[in-house]
Amino acid sequence: MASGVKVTDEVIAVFNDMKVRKAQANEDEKRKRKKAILFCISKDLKNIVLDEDKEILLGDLGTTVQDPYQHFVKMLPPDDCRYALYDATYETKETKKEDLVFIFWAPESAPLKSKMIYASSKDAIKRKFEGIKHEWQVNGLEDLKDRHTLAEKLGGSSVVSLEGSPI
Amino acid sequence: MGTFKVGALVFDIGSYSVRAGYAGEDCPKADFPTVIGVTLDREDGSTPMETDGDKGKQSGTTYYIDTNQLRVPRENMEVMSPLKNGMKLMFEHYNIPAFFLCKSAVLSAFANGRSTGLVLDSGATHTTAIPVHDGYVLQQGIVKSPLAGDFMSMQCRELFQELSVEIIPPYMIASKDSVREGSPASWKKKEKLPQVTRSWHNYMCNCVIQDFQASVLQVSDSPYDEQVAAQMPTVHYELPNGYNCDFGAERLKIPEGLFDPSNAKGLSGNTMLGVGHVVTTSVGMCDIDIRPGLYGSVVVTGGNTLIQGFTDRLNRELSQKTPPSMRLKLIANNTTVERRFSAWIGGSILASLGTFQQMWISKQEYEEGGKQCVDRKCP
Repeated sequence: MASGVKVTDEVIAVFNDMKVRKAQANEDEKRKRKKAILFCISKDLKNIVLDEDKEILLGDLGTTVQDPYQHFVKMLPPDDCRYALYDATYETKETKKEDLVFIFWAPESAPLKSKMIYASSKDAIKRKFEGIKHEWQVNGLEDLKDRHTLAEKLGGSSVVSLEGSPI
Repeated sequence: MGTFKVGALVFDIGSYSVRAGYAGEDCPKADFPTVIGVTLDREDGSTPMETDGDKGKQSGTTYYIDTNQLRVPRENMEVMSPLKNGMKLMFEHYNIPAFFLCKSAVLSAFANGRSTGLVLDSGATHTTAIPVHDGYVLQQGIVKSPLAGDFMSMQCRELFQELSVEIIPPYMIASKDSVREGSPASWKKKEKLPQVTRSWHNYMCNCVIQDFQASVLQVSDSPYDEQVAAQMPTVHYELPNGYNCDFGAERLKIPEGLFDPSNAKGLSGNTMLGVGHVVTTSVGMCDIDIRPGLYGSVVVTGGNTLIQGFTDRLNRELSQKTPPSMRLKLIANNTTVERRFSAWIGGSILASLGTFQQMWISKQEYEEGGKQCVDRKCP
């Protein structure tokens, strides 16, 4: 069941950029690639748009951002819903991987109206994100704080490290 | 917030009550029993039968709805449920321009910020587990049990029968004396009462039972144990006719039937599922990969779940029936309003969104497409 809320082109463009791992031409372009970004519903309740300035760029890692996962968790508003894309880097015993995770953030303390609109519009945004392997419905900080939960989602018990830190 | 002034009505019709109101409001304006009082003026002046009559054949029918109207004793007034024939009636009799149908389980899940979860709805007639995945109901996983509010009421009625206590509704009582705990009631009947029908009288008695049910019953946090129950603090309750009593073990014994029907009275050839099993069976019928998502978001709704101790007991039952690694989370709104109205509120928000206005099924579409267009546009 859908709310009729539409996904803007800029959102789809961001997704396409994050999905494709281009053989990067130069360092500059590499640094501008997004590690994580939040999406929200516009004030007029008609579209899903980019949440201004709520993003982590690859170039930030090591400089302004030390732990990308914790930084991402801090970006989420405590009392309102959001959608997010997080580009997770993790290792299993065999190999190193990068996967996009689609996150639906709906904390218990968010207003009912917000939960209702975001939940009923989730189908619209997910349909535009073709090929996403991992989706995560999160309803409280306690679900997110523990990196184990994300690690399990990505690869079960075979995941040995996440964002460079061992599990 | 939002752009246009939307004129839409939202109905959530249950077997016990109807929640109705305007889209955009945060609470239904009307919350009234799903019961119609019908007076039938027969042409030949004979007394009508007590079963549901064929409304088409009678003339001069007057309908009474809503608590205030219903509770006035009137001659020849029958009670019936309007639950049949919904949609056809709406379009053909009431000439509405457009409508939309939503599954209430999906609305309740959404209103709790979930697009995936197991909705447990325990109302008057049924306790139902409905798995919702990505905003869609998984029909094959729906599990329904008749052990719900009405079953509780029946057990309460039996308790009073055992105590040899008669249920006298307020409409009959002119005055009553104060009597000692457990003593027979002493009351005077009203003198000029109209000849009421049996269906109406039973309805009024049920209202008395339901008040007792809501005030006195409590679910034990672990399986019922007679010795533990005997230590239970008692609750004092007085019936409309003045009979009053302290209730102890019965407070726990009666609702135990919801969770463990094996010893409940009146259930023959026992194949009924307790609430815990209703949930686990439902989840068990779904794909193994989505089960953690369902157990991680068990949304508890429906008036019957408001019995004290219901959610704690359910939590315990589910933790015992699921593997230790399974993350279990029950979502049970604290306010009565949200627990009974979550589906209505969800519908109200949806129907008031500017973007939703393109989703309505118009009268014309319904005339051209019939039921199939409803199935397609309202999945």
